[in-house]
Amino acid sequence: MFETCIQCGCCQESCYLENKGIRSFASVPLEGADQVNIWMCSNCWVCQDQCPQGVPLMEYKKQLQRQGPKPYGWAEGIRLIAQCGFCLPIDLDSLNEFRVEVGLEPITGILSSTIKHLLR
Amino acid sequence: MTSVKPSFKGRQCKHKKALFAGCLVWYRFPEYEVASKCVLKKLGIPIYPLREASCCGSFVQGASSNWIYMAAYNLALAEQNNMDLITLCGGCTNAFRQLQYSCTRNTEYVEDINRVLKPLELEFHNTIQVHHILEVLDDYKEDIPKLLTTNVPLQTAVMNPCQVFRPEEIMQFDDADHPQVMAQLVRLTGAACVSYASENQCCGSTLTLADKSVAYCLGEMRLEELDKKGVETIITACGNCHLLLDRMQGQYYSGRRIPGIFLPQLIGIAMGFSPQQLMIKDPRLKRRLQNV
Ligand code: SF4
Ligand code: SF4
Repeated sequence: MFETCIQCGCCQESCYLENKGIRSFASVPLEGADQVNIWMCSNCWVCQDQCPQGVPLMEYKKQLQRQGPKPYGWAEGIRLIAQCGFCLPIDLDSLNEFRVEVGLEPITGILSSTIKHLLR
Repeated sequence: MTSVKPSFKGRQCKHKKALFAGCLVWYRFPEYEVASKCVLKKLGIPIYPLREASCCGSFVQGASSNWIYMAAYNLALAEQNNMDLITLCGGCTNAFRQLQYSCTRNTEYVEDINRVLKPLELEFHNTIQVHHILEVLDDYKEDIPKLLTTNVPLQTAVMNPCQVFRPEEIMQFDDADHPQVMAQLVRLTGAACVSYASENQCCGSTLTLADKSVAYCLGEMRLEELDKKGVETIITACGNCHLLLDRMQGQYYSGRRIPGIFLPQLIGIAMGFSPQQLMIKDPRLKRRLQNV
């Protein structure tokens, strides 16, 4: 990882969080990764677009995030996806009742066997 | 940078269109889906349902490389039904387009995906188009004014959904450093659209999952800036941007309330739909837009 990085700091300088004094994922190339900075990112892709070396920062972020524990909100969303196929607690029966009331077609959810298969 | 993508115009593309609203809009913002359908219908784009869709997979990216199967599953479902997807959130758009981009560069990727999809009797050939509603509306910006019946007398500002513009190499839409399209679409409705310093800065909504106080602090800074500019409503085009505004103004922010509305709700008002039809929730805004 980061083999082609020339430590220029453009990523860090371009990150709106870093510019507000918040240590973000864009600090990783220069300062190294830890469990806090790898999650402090809102996926705006500005740092990657600014990198003169084309370092795939967002891909590296995903790889680093996969290695360790997830913050609660992330862990919960991932648990829900495995359970119902959505990252939020969507209860299709009550949601569909509401949807029909407001003129939207009901949602046909994904089969739980399909979710298992995709995420196995 | 101008778009080099093939045009999305419904009349030029043989595929049917499905709205891929995504988890957050399904769960929390039905008004975005309702208003998008009203506007798309008026533009002559019929919308068909995509059955058995799931989360786009973007949420799984930080947990497992299997996220690509989830994204590909949704794209393969659409392919099977000869559908292009119109997305409403930046995250879904970005996940699908990342996957499509990787697949155009690496055929082994497609083979691997098809090995996983085969037992589900699905095949993925990367043949459909995925576009965010902002891109679709941009394609129709010459048609929209002909369908408007009223001017919307509001002072607004936009929140640009970053992931629809970046990474530039993949998204190829608008000018990622200084997006213009959303403000242009707002101005078509007669509403004023003010510029502000953090206009092109990410909303930070995703940070609520890691550190709520950071996300709320970013939201507060934006609202304070918009308050000074006399903005009455903030125009959004992503569930995540909208969620931050909604949540923090409900629980945390004590300044003047500046409700958010989704871009298709604004365009819908200018097209003559009622605030009820477009499910505009904020009571003051609803009254204000009742008889425009
Ligand atoms: S993608 Fe993350 S680290 Fe990069 S600029 Fe945006 S918020 Fe900062
Ligand atoms: S911008 Fe690219 S090359 Fe420069 S420090 Fe960041 S990752 Fe390394």
